[in-house]
Amino acid sequence: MNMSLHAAAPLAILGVPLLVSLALILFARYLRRVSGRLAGAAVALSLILTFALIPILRQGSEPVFSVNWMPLSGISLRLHVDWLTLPFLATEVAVTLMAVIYAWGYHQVDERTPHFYALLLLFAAGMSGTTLADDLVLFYVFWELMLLASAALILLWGVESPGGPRRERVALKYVILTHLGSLMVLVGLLVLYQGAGVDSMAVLRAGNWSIAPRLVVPVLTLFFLGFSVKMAIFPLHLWLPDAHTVAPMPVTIMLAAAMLSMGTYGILRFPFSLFSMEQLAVFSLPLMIAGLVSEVYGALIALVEKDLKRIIAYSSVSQMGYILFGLGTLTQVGVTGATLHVIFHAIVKALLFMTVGIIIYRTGKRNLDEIRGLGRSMPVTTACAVVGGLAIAAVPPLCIFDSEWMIFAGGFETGYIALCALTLFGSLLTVAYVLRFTGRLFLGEPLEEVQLVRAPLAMLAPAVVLAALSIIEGIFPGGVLDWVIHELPLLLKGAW
Amino acid sequence: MDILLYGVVLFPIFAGVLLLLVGRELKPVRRYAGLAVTSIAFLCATGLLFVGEHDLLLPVSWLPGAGEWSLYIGGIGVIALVVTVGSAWVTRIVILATSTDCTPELDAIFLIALGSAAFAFLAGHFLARYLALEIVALCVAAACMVQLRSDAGAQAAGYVYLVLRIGDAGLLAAILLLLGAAQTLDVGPALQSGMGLGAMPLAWVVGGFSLAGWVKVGAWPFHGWHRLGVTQLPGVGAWLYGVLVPQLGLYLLYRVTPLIAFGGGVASMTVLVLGLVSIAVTVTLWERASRSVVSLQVYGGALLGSLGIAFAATGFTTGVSLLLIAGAFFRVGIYVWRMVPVASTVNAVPAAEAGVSTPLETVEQDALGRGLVGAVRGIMSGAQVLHNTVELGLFERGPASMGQAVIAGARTLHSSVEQGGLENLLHGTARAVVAVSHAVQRIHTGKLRTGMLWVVLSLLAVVLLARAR
Repeated sequence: MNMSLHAAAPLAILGVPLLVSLALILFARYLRRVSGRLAGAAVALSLILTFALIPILRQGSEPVFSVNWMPLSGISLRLHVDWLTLPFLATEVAVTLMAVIYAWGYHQVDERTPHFYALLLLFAAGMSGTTLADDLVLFYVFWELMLLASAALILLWGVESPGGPRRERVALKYVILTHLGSLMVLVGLLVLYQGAGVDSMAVLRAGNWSIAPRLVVPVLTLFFLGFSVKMAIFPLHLWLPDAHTVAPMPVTIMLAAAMLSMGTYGILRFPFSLFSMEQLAVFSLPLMIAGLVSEVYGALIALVEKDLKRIIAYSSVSQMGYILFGLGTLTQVGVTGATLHVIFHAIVKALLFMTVGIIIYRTGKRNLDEIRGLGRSMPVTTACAVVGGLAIAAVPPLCIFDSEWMIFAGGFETGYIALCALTLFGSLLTVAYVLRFTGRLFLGEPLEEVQLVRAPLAMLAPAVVLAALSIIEGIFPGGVLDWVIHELPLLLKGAW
Repeated sequence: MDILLYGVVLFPIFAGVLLLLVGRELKPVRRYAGLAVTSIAFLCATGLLFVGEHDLLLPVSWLPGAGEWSLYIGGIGVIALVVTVGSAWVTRIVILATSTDCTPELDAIFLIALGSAAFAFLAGHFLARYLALEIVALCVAAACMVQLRSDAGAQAAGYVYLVLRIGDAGLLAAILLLLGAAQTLDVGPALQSGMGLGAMPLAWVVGGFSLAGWVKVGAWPFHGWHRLGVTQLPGVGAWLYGVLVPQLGLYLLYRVTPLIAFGGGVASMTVLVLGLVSIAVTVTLWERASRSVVSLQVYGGALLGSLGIAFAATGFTTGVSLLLIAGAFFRVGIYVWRMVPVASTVNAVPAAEAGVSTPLETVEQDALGRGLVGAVRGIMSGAQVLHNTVELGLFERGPASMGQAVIAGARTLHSSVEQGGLENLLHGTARAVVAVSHAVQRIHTGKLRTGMLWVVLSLLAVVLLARAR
């Protein structure tokens, strides 16, 4: 085992939530009332440690923690932080913290509360572990932990809507479909393991591996398909609408804002880090087309959906299409834009789901046909939702405009002008569903006298913070952009 | 010069934000405050006429690769700025003189739009101009929402914003293509590099800029938003829709005319032909419309826009600049004529237009407007069909149906083969084995043995009797 001060950081980022989760399960009876605060403290500590890694990375160090587990099989357990890890880790931990704070107001304390927060922490640990893992075994273990923890949350705390699917069915569908994607990823990982002889991703990054040339395209296809399931790219998105709709709101926030980004991370960590530009070139156009189709499809369905959560859920399908399009350009600016879009999408999507959650909480309704004219009675929520809506519609100078600008710039660089123009004009559908969503909810006269329940501060405060962040990050994207730019030399074997 | 720039750009924006926050408390002085701010902006804009031509580099580098922002002070841009801000000043005077009601929100929108438009006129950087135009578009849509204050108003605001975004999408596409070629977004060098583009990329750039200008000038077929604002929104709204945005569109066309007209290629010819068609259709529509100052404002404004497009396609920059300057006087003159009470009988919205019950119905008054609204409804219907057939029918019910079919098949297999076949076979076999076992057990326990003994003894007796005979 290799332990140093730098090694302690990734271990603590992962270990603190896991330990607190374990404590919440073992001592549930005693920790019922403080379980939310404990969970928040654990995630806050993880976030502080994550940001503490930035100066270390700037010095050129990459913290590593490793344990030799099965030396004869070449399997070790390693945690590692580099510039590719940082943006995704920071996004995931920050979103989790927002979700936990939101849960303080959303979740009604009962005897199962410690288990709720324990599973939230396990879910978060699954995502953190996925980004921190530096060996194939750990990566897959945490990849599946994400799935299992979130499925359990949906199954046990899912909120069924009248006439909607039962949560058991939704959880099963979520597990089966997502697991199919995981299996594709697993096959790819096994091929890499066979090619390298060890499961260390450091060895893979160093290029000390080889696979038969005829296996390159199949392996890449498996990776792209498997990670696209997690990204909910059309038509592999089937698990998303029901899962997002039925899951309790804090879980929905984590699913939409953080977990979807794990698919992008997987694409960057494996196909983009281990293969060359020439090997990936054949996938460029298919990825761009798949991104365009997902963007348009998700936006069209969001345009006609009536359930508030489903509208935002399909918006995620559309936004993931932009990310895949950006990745598919294989250009420096396009890939940078795609990574930036992951972070900004996380901020805005969490914001939108929080505002929807507040509306559902206060009005008791979730159908767009039943709610009108909330602008005067819910000014803060309205302002947050309008900021979120304008942001997702890529109105400058809000954050998503920045990332979309770079994605489209990358697209035009490829020379596929018509395709990029279609993608750009397809973004008008985003404007359309945002106008429908915000216009109906907040403008005009209320349909009837609605008795509004007061929303807890714990639900409003994170929404206000995220709205402010959408504006600040849009005007000053330099800080986050700096993280992302540092990851570029790690991709496509330094082709840029 | 810095003070003049602050006075014409930042001061109105800050004043607008302030009015938004505390406007209700300033009710007695608000309308005078609006006029005062606009007056200062007008003076500062006029002052820029005497500064001379300047390229001013701003210490703002927003997005990677976009370069630092710049302002170009001089030439037609400043003149267009002066006439536009002048029209705003006249508007404020008319609003004050006619005691037209103006809410704090509307005052704020007016001032923010004015400051942003001033920046757009002066911007020497495409991204800076795009940002300013987007803010103006938001203000224009917000004005509709604030003034109409109903579900129909919200719907109309959404329509207006969406149409303006179509133009902005074209502008963005053109800008990004130029960025790829020029590696800069400074207007002059970018346009110069654009002339070195290949035929196909150049066609896309020309198309993008033309679309952007076309929508903003309110020319047919994109005149619906313009007509909606001019007919339905008095006061501030009419100035925003009838003067400000078309002026911005004409100035955009003026700046990119050299590129649109470059080479006289297929793209330029297409824009020219479409521009001429737009002129012809607009004149025809005007002929059919009622004789009123409102029609003059609507179709006169649209005609100016169409002329601007045709001039841009032929490279006639002087023509575009004349439309920009003279057109501003025409537009604001019509606006004043409508607002002045003595002419109220001719200022009334004609019955054909007054009979509309929702702002969007003003868009549907001609065939193309109906077509456009119909197209939007068609997209919505198509999306609904897609949702029902693909998402619900294929993806939701499809796998569910497949799953149910699989389960039903499995149940059949279970009952017929598993239970009826294999299980029964297994049970039958087991019962047979048990029966044989019982039989063997009977032999072992003596009953069968006793019986068998009698059988054997009987057989022996028969054999002995047979031998005895």
